[in-house]
Amino acid sequence: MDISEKEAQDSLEQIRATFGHTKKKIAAGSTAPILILWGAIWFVAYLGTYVAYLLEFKVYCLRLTSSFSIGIHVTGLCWMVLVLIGMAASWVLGVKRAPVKSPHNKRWGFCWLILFVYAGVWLSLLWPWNDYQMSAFLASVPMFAYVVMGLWADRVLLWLGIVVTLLIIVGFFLFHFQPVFWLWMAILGGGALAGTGLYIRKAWR
Amino acid sequence: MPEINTIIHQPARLKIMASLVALDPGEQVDFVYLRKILNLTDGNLGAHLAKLENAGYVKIQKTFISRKPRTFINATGKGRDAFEEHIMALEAIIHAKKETDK
Repeated sequence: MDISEKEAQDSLEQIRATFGHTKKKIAAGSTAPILILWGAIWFVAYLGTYVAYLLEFKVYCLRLTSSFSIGIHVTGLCWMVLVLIGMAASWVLGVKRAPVKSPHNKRWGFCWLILFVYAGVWLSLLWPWNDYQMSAFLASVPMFAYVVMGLWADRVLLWLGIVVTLLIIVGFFLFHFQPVFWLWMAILGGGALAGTGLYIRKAWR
Repeated sequence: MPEINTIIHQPARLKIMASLVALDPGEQVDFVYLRKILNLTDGNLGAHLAKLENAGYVKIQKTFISRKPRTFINATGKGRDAFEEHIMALEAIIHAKKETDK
């Protein structure tokens, strides 16, 4: 089969374009929904925590009672439920409904599980801690994973992990022991996750 | 001297093979997702995949996930080798043209 140099050039260009397009589409298909999901979870859960702490602070200031912390306990329960829902949904999106079936998919799922089991172990070893320290620590755990994953896979994850980690650190030291820390985490932390997910979905379409 | 592969050279099949080779070995892409990536119709993609499967370049696996039928496709080792040889043939044509122009 004889083909011209121009045709050969065009074919190679087509191959390069399709190759890059496929890589981006696959990354978008598996990463974007999970980022949007966790961004929404962070937003709702941190906003709820903020409201609960704000209410408790107001009640404390009004000297109605100093041990009114039902809202905070309810928030903790809501966090647990939302995280469990998030983990189950991530498993479905990342393993069962993933557009690409890979022998690594399940391994990634177990890596995340192991990471959080270890985070729990470290938290128990580091006791005593306050809610702000625990929250900042647990929020930084998935960001650590994003940075590591970003080194191997998508650079977007690397930068997202670094930016959100910096936001956690800045928020933690800037608003230490102040309820506004939860609002900071809801808007900037949750917003960064969901925003990146939406950006990937739109830009890599 | 590597030769142009007539099965792979057809534009739609070239795109299909480029997409499948973009996956890591052992990975399989969902038929519906591949169709969206390549912007092809069901029938068009199915027909080209059948040709590539007959040549032994792709493997098509039909399965059920949560009781729903799903089709996964991947490039075989033979397909990856043929695609690589096809790229080398294209590069050789460009290289040969540059040599004659000198």
